Amino acid sequence: MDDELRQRLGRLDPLDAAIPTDDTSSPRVRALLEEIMNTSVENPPATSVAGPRPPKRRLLVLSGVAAAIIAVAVGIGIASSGNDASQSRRSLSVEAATPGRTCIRFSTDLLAQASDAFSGTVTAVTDSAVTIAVDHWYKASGAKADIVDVATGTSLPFLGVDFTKGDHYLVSATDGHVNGCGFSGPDESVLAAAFTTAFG
Amino acid sequence: MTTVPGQPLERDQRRDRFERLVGDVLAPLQRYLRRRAEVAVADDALADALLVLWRRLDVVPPGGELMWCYAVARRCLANQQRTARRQLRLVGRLAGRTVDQPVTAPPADLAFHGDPELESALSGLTVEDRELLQLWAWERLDPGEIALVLGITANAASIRLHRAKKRLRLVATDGKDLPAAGHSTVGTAEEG
Repeated sequence: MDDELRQRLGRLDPLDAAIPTDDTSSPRVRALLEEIMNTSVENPPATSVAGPRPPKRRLLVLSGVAAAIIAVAVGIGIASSGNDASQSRRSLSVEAATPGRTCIRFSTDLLAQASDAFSGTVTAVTDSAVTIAVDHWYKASGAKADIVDVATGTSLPFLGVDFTKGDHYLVSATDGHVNGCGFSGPDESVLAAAFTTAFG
Repeated sequence: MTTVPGQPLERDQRRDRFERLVGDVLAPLQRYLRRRAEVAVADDALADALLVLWRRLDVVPPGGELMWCYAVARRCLANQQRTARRQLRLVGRLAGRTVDQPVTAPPADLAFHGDPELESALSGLTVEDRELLQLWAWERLDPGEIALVLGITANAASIRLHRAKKRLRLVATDGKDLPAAGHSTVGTAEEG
């Protein structure tokens, strides 16, 4: 009975067995593999050996539709602000949303050029602002604040990051500005590995 | 050979192992992804999965490479689909309208065929049930292998698969036994 059910389900397979897949020697695959093998290699921490922890964040825009759709490169000015009780704060503000720009292809080399990089948990999201409780500074050009406030205005969509309260994010900034396009995003394995590679 | 002190042999070995593994897993991975997404999304997910394979080569379990890669590809695909949905929403906002087109549908140009009763029943199941059944029937994985892909225990995979088959049969037949395609079958649905 199971064999029969399996056979019938098998006939619903939308990919006919006769449809060929790419050969590893095809130019397209060779180009992809060479690009991959030219990227830096993560040395995973022992705690993550237990099983596959695949990416939830793209490092390479190899054939994607993302880059062409909207330009992100939203500048967020970083300004230091005074301490609040025992917690220091920084304010980030979206300077401009410029949909005419295009994404720069992600690379850890570019990421490494960031002057500021941190990880933290979003503690509040409103229509115009996001608050992030920083738990780690990978790199800081100034004071390592405990709290980062992001005044997003109406430009948040252009950042390319869906900030959700309670979620953990990785954010990088260069010369006082943060760009989207995958240079900041949810704390997921590939982006985390990129941060570790870039700033470790 | 390159002459970076202390590194070249290790890097060459890494490249060799990566290329061997890609040779083994590329076709099944590509099929896995293209069964579940349109080609552009599937190929982006494949590129992501191979990048993870390259970077995590040291932790890929010997003998379990393909299941490990399936697990990675599964999550890469989920990520690609989330990204695609975000992009659709963003485009919709820019256009002043709501765009909520699903991006999880199978390739539009690869139509299901031949068994509308079962197809309808399958589409009526939960995403989790469908995934189990598809891994079992399309990738031809056994419960132990499915467990590795889904990150659950083999026992849990076996139980969930058993229940998914049962639900499929029930949905397909409105509580009656699922007849064989083109046949009239009498008897209860057995699990195994």
